[in-house]
Amino acid sequence: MSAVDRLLGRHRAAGYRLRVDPVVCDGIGQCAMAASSLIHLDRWGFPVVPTAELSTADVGRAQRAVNACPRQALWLEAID
Amino acid sequence: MTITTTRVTTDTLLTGPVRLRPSGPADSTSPSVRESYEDHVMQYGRRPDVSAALLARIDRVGLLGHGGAFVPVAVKWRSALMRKGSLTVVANAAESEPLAAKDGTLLRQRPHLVLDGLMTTAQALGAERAVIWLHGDDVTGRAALEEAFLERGWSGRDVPVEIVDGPVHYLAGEAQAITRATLGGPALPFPRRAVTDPWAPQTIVHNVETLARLALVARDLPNPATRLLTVLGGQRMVVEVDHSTTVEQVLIRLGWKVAPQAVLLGGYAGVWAKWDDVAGLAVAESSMRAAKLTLGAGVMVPLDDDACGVRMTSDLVSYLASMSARQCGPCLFGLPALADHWAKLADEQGSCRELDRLREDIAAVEGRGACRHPDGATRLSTSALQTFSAHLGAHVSGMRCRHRSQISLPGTRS
Repeated sequence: MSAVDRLLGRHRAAGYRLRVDPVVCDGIGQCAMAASSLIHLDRWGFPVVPTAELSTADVGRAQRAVNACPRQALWLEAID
Repeated sequence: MTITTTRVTTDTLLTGPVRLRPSGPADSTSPSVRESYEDHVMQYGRRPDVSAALLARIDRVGLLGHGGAFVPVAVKWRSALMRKGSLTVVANAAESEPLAAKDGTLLRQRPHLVLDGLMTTAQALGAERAVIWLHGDDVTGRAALEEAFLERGWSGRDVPVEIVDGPVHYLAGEAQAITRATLGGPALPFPRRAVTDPWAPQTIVHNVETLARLALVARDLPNPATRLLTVLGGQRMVVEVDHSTTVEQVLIRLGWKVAPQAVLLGGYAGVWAKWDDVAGLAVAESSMRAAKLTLGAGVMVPLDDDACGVRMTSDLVSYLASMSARQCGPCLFGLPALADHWAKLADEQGSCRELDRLREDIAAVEGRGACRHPDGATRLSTSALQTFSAHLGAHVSGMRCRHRSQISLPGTRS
């Protein structure tokens, strides 16, 4: 079980995708600072997240972005 | 009076074409016939009980939704049957698209066919509530329904039907907004985070035309091979034409003598298509989709040869920006940005650089909204860039745009 799975309290999924709820997101930008290699901000300050499945190395970075969001607008979606 | 034993069936949904006021609810300015309950029962008999074979029949007939997305009815039914939460069935009669009026017209002409479809769905899926959802300003639609309610014979097997007035807003007819409203929330589209609790209350939304067709399929009658269209030319008209009718034939039938330069398909959040690309296409959604186009909820706006498509697009995009649900950044900031670019282009104040910025912002907004509303604006913009590419060249090179004729689009600035 990976650290992410332990944190989320679930069994290992085949893969993960980073998702953002644009309604909850206020464009604060912490996510882009926590995971600058994955997330960039559009010209209005809202995050553009990768839509493809994350590589194993990126899952940890994405988790940091999820943790950094004060609005809890980001989450890791399991792909089975 | 003699009662004929052979059942008379029609192969159309509407009792006839109507001419409407240029905007607002589907109030006809020409005489239009409302089918009484007595006539309805004479023609079709009372609503049959739901049989176990109904879902299979809907599948076999291939009945699709007619609100614009063309989702198979059987798919919606199956997903509703798989979940366990209490169910609300909604007949969506809110055509918030300012031009669309085919559902309002159908509701006024054949209310009992629509009610049959709604109650059949409610009974088949074991719904607890059945709702007819109207656009907030559809006063005459409500009156027509109330009249139909009074003359209708209700029975114990019928789920009680409520009429609910939605807000007066462009997004009021969006299925997710209706779902949220029937569950006690605001009438705004859902964010995309999926509901996973199978016991959560659920809502299934069917368009009014879909339900009328369903009422026929439930009686084992053929689903009419027709398409209902709202066309804004000199006048706003609702017509019903055979699937195989081409766009050109529709316009000829409505009295167009000169070919337009382009046609707006599907309404304000629709797509532009050059006349030569669309004239020969049949109005059936399958033929439109084969050409990577869609007629959505059946709206067509032909654009005169001497009208400016750039100006029209500018008006449409700023309308869509003003109708944002104001829920998410990409819509709240992205759509006004798109509208600004279009306004500059329309006013001949933009250079080629403005076109590049527009393309960049389209890419920045596309697919990132909480709902599909911003995608409507990007799709319209992209289609306008293609359709009016030559004319846009004149707009950015400082040549005066000589196209001065205007189509007055309800709700927009000019």
